[in-house]
Amino acid sequence: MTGSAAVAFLCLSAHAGRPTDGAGLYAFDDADDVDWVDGPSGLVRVHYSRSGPNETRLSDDDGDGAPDFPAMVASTAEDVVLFFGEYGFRPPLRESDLGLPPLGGSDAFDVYLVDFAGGADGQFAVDACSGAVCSGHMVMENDFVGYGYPSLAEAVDVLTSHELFHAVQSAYNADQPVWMSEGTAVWAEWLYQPGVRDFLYFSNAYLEDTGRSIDRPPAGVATAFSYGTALFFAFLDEHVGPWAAVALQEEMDGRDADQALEAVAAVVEAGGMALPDAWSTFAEWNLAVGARAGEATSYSFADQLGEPTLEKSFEDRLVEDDNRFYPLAATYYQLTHGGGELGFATVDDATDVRFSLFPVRDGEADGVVGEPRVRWRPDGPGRVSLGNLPAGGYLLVGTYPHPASQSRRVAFCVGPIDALESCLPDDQPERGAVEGGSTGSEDERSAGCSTAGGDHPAVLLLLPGLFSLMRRRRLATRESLQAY
Amino acid sequence: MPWTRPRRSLLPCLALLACGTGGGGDDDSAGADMPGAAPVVPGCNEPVAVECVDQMILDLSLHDDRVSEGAVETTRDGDDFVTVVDAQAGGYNEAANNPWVYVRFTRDGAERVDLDDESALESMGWDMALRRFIVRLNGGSSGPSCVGAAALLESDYDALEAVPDGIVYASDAYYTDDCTIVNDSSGLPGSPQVSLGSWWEYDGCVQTTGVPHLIALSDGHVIKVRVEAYYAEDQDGCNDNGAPGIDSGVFTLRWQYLS
Repeated sequence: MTGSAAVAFLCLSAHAGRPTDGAGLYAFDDADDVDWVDGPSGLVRVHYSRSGPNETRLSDDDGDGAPDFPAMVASTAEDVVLFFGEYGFRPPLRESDLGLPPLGGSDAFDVYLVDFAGGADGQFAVDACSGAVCSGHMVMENDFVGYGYPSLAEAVDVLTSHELFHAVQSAYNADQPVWMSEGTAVWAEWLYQPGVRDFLYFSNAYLEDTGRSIDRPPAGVATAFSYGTALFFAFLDEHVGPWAAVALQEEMDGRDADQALEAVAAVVEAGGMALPDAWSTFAEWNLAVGARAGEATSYSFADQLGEPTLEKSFEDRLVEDDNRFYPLAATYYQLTHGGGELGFATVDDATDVRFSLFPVRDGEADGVVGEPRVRWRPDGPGRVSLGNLPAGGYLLVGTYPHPASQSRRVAFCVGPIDALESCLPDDQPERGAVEGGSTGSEDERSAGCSTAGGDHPAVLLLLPGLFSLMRRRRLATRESLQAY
Repeated sequence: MPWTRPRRSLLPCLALLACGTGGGGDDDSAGADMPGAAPVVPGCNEPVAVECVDQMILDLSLHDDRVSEGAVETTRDGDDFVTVVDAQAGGYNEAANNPWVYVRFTRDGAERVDLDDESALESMGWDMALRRFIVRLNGGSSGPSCVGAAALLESDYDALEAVPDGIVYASDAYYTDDCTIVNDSSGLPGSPQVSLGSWWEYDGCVQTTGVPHLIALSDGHVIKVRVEAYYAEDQDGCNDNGAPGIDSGVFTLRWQYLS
């Protein structure tokens, strides 16, 4: 059953079983001796086994009669609930909010410590819903023996903040697409405990596949990409504002899962930006990370991330590619420039695809990147001058920053202005008028090329009306199918 | 719906928890009765443009810049060929980041065809593509050729000595007219309803059904194929006890020309 179906069919008169009922994939056994401990404020109750197949860590160093581990889980979970509340999120719904009896023996949020046998380590499960607003409980690995967390405390921080954020989501809308529900839950781990490695691990998984639309994760129930979209929500937090995460959940209240991008756009617009502009910035921030971090604008934690996967790396001073730019995705290239006038050429209609070019500091081939020297938006086939640029390494970002159902396929070249023949028609036209460009707000639709902090004024060489003359030289083999 | 947080290193285990049978139906010739399946007339010379390419690149994680290095090795076993295809693609967690393995069947055995995924969408030079547990054939949704399959659910591979009368071959047909992917009955999102889906089912691990398939190649010839293993080692343990074998995604195919 899918999440949306589950939500749709649950009702107030029935509720899913708890692990103490032996219900669910992860549950207590009849042989378990189950006990519980409440958190200091009584907001969270942790159920654990004192003996049996799901026996937890039982040491009681403080001698208070309750094992230290479940007590730590209860304390941490309460801290997380309070933290999210202070941040502005709604608290998880209690059973009584939906008219249920106290399923865990009290109205506190229930956490169950059950052996996941290494296959997973946490779960939030819905008890009941009113519409798409749901209450539920959390199940967590009983002892983390054999798991790779650097410390037990970090494991508990990660699991409680992640799963309790699903409980928070469910107070708004439990029917969120996986890329949003998991991405925001991983981001919440970082929000609660900055520096947590889980967030960085999954963010790097996103950076390995930036060419994929953010709302189209790969096949599979649980893909790292879906969790790695956390990086986008961290971007919203740092670029749009700390209020954005709460606003996003508010926007999702009452929306269907397939309206999630509309909710994102609404939040970005509330921050005074258009989604394409914000997405283009996100794509640029994702370049200036890892070994490339330190100079160009990016995340506060940029140096802790890995670098995005490059589509191609060109050392022959000419980027030449035929790429599908998927909506809300980004592609990265590396090139070495010998110095002089650099150009961009395409035979395709690249409307709405945006490019930006970042210099590598000190003329190195790769490394820390400076702010982009030039940004441009080709709105048709032709050649664009990117200005006279010094020799050295450059990183190119290409993105189609609009929600859409289809990609933009663009064959293009970037290189010395006079070496772009492979991306131009045979009958190369006269250069068009030179126009100065200005960088891009959403309202500036015309093809443009702008300097972006550099001292080399970029100019735009328009080649109007040439579309019919263009020959997709490099695409010929694609248009005439091969037969073997 | 429970939001289960997978252990990072064990994403594949969770990903297959919901699996049922891999595909196919209850009739003997499953290919003929698969919903949405398009009958194939064996033999074609001209490629047909593949629909829904834009969606397929994302849905199936296709790549345009890498060619699989998965080994394809064929040996003789009596009248049969036995082909081992390494379709591990870096393991489940990395599969989306790696290309498919493309295979061509010939009178001398099966061989790997070195194509990137997007080029393969324009090539008639391959018959079968494999990555992890998904096996596509070059036709319909999957490719520009006309390779199709029929699952003989009630038949025994060894007893098949000729192509039975009345067989209808089905090409892969896992996209609707508006390019929405049609998944198989496994419950796995993004596991397309391929025509060669009856070879597996899931009960704790990927179990082989032993169902023989007929595959009509683009040159009109027909081979019979049985998937004997999905694990490099201990497929029997999976089939008998539900315990995963060693090195998933390493196919053992037994096959023979019937015409």
